[in-house]
Amino acid sequence: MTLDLSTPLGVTIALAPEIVLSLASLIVLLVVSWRHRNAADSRLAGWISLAGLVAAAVALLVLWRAAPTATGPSGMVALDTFRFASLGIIILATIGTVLLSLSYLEREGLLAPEYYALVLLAATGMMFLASANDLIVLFLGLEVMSVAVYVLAGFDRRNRFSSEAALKYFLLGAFASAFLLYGIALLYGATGETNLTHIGGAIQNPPTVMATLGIGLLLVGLAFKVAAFPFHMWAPDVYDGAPTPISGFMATGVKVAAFVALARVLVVALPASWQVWGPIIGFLAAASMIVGNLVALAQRSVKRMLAYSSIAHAGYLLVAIGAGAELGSSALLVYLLGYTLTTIAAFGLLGILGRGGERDVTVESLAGLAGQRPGIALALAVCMFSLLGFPGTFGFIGKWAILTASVDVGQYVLSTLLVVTSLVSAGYYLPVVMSMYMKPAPTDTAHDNVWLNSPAAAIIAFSVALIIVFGLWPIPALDTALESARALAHTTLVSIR
Amino acid sequence: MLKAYVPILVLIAFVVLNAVGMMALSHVLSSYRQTPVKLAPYESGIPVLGDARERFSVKFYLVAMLFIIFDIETVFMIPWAVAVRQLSDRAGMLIIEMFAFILILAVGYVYIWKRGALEWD
Repeated sequence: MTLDLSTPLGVTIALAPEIVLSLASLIVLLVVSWRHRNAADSRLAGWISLAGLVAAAVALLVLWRAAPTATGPSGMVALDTFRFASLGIIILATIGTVLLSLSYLEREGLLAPEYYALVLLAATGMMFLASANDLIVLFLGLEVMSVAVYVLAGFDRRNRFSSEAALKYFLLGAFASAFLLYGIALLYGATGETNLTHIGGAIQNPPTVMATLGIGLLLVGLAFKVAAFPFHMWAPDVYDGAPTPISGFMATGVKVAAFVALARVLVVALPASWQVWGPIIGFLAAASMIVGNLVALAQRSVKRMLAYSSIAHAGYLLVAIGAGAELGSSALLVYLLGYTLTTIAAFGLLGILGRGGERDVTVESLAGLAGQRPGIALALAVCMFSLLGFPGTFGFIGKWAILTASVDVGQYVLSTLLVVTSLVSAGYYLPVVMSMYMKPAPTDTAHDNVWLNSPAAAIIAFSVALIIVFGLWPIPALDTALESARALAHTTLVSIR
Repeated sequence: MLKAYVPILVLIAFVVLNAVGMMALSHVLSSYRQTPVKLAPYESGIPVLGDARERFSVKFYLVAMLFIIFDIETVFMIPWAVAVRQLSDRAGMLIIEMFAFILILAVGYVYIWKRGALEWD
């Protein structure tokens, strides 16, 4: 199937998943206008959003199966398997968030069903961000996503830590958006284009001062969203204060969208400027891995530990970005899928281990969980091993793919750092497992209020099963990722010519 | 390339120097005789009623935000209305797009209405 992205019909078909999801968020908002009184109304909104997400997933699969190729002038959205694969991960993360929220919101008394409309709008923004082949679409997607997530971070408005999270994220996020927009303006000034493919053809090599500044500012804006080292200061406080399913949503959906956009900008628009952004990405990766892992060692609260661990994972993913178009982007996709599955499950489990924002769940408070709640302890242990990159889990496959890609382009220092910092990370992932399995519970009833209801159990069981299945048999995931990355690399070759 | 911006730089320097100079001159040349009445905040000539830092009801902020959202839509509609005649070959698509835009706004309007954001009490 061929689609002409310069015609209205072509763009409409190419954007089918995004359009379906935006319509779903409008429907949720309309339903919420009348039904916003009690817990049943909140559940209703949740199930409608879930139906909308499934519809968007179906639209995505139909589009993916049709294997459309773009004809005519380069459009504002990309049309390749790299985009489809990343949209799939984003929809998966959003479905997970909705399923985890269903019981969480009721338990915490956050009965404003607008929550689900905001989650869907944020997901729509993420999908546009991941689909953007034009800097304007990229910025619009980023803002639609960010504005909704700012509100979601402060959704527990009676909790002052949640309000702090929202304010901090909003002020710093708006600042980062300004950097990004200024970078876009400078790149436009240097090349006269906002389309990524056209920028790739128009940019001078070596880039002018204006283009270099533009690339730098663009990197600042996107590095903020993925919480890479010098721009990570907001992440621990925001992840810590936000309602736990939203912390998981920020650690997965926002990161996936921003990383895919970053990969596309660097691979499609700026491959020739590698000597400008290569060292910057290398520095961000090294610093994020070192700082994220070392500071996570010092955390007692599991939620803060997961926040710092997500900074470390941003570092690993940046190594993949630096490793070039084909192997690097394929490793990026594999790692993003594994990281999303693991992080959604980990934050979901954290959400049932505590109350009132889960800030007080420490490693010590998990003592003896395995004896009283064996299933939950096993799921959490699998998540910890996968985040650590233990062989037999999907996390290992992701790290192995990044290492292969990184060594392939000769990034020996970064590869070594990745291995060493992964070993360091055992120092904070394994105590969680040890505490659950090797320490006695303080009382026989210590974990009696830990229970898992069916929607959350469904997504956690699904994620844990996939982590193990792909950990033992990763060929389908690796093949799909490589095919998607080739599609992206092919775009690059066309644009350089 | 940057030479074209020299006049702007001169203008900025002139404006800053002018403003600072006027304030500095009036500061140096004027004479001061402070009295309690002169130092009091000016409230249109009547005696001061109270502190200016009062808590406003959040309702004012809500109305202000809603006003801005539904005010900004005009910023999008007027350029559309101006351009739609010149782009007559794709007028059908432009009209559909504008209706989609208005539909999204209308959903937001229905939402704030039913949710009670337009009721003052």
